[in-house]
Amino acid sequence: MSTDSTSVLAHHYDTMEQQQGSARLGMWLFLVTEVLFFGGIFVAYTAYRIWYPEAFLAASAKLNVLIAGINSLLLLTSSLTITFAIHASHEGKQADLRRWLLVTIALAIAFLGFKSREYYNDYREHLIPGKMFYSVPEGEKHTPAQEFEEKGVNPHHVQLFFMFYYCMTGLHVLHMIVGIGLIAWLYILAKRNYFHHPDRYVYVEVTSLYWHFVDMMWFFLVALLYVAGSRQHFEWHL
Amino acid sequence: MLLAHGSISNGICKRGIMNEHSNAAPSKASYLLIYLVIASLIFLAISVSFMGLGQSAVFLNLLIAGTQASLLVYFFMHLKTADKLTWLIVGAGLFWIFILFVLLLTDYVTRQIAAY
Repeated sequence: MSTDSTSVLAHHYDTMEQQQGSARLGMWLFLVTEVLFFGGIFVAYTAYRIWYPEAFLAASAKLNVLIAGINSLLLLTSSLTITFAIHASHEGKQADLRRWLLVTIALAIAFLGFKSREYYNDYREHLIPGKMFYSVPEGEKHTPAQEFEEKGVNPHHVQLFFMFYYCMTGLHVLHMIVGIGLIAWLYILAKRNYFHHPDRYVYVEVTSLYWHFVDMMWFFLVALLYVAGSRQHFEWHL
Repeated sequence: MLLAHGSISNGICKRGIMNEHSNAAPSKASYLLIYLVIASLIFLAISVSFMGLGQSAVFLNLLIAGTQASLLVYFFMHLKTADKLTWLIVGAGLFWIFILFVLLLTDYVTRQIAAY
C-alpha cells in the first residue's frame, strides 16, 4: 500500500480538504436518514404513550435502571475514546490509534454484555409480550399480567410498552454491532499501516460520527424507556 | 458547466472542519470536561425517576437527553467548527423530525378537545 500524498488524494478531487469534506458530508447525510429511521419508532411510541400513559409508566418502572446507567457511562466513555483515536491518527501516533480503537471496541462489547444480561433478566421475569406474560415466572406467585392488573393497569397496554422496549433497544443493539464492525475494520486498517498518512484520519472521524450518533440515540432511549416510570427505591441487582 | 460545478463544490468544502481543526484542535482536557458534564447528566436523568414526578417527568427526561445530545453533536461531532453545509444538513434533519412529530401531535393532542 503506497502512502505518498498523490495516492491519498483521489483523482476526482481537487484538494485534500475537498475530499475530506465530502467524506464527512456523506456520513452526515446518512445520519439524517438515520434520524428519520429512529424517528418513526419514536413517534409511534409517542402516540401510544399519549393513549396509555399509566401502563407505560408502570411498565417502565420494571426495567433495570442500574444496568441502563452503567451502559450509558460505558457508551459515553467509548465516545470519548474514539475521539482520542481521531487525535492519535491526526498526529500520526499509530500505536495510540490502535490502543484507543481497541478500548472503544472493549467498551462497546461490555455494553452488549450488560444488555444481554438485562434481556436474560427480563426473560426470567417473563416481561415478554405474548404467552409468557400470562405464565408464572420461577420463584414467583403471580404472572406479570396479574401483577399489573393488581395495580389497576391494563396488561395489554403494558405489553405494548415492552414491544416498544424490545424493538427500540434491539434496533440500537443492531447499530452497536454494525459500529463495532466498523471500528474493528479501522483497527485492521491501522494494523496494516493504512493510517501512516495523517490525512487518512478523516476515516476514523467519519466512523466516530456514526458512533456518537448511536450514543445519542441511547440517551433518548434511556429517557423514554428506563427513567419514564417513578420508582420508590433503588434496586442494586445486575 | 463542469468547471463551475467543480469550483462551487470546492468552495463549499474548503472551510471543512478539519481546516480549523488542524490549526486549533480541541485539547483532550476540553473533551474530558464535556464528558464529565454529560456523565453528570446521566446521574441526573436516573435520579429524576426517583423524584415521583409522574407523567411530567417526561419533559425533564427529554430536556436532559436533548442537552446530552446537543453537547455530543456540538463538541464530540465537531459541529462547533463545521462548515455551513453541515449545519444545513443538521438543521434539515431537525426540521423533518419536527414535521413528523408536529403533524402527529396535531391529531393525538387535540383529539379529546375536538371530539363530539
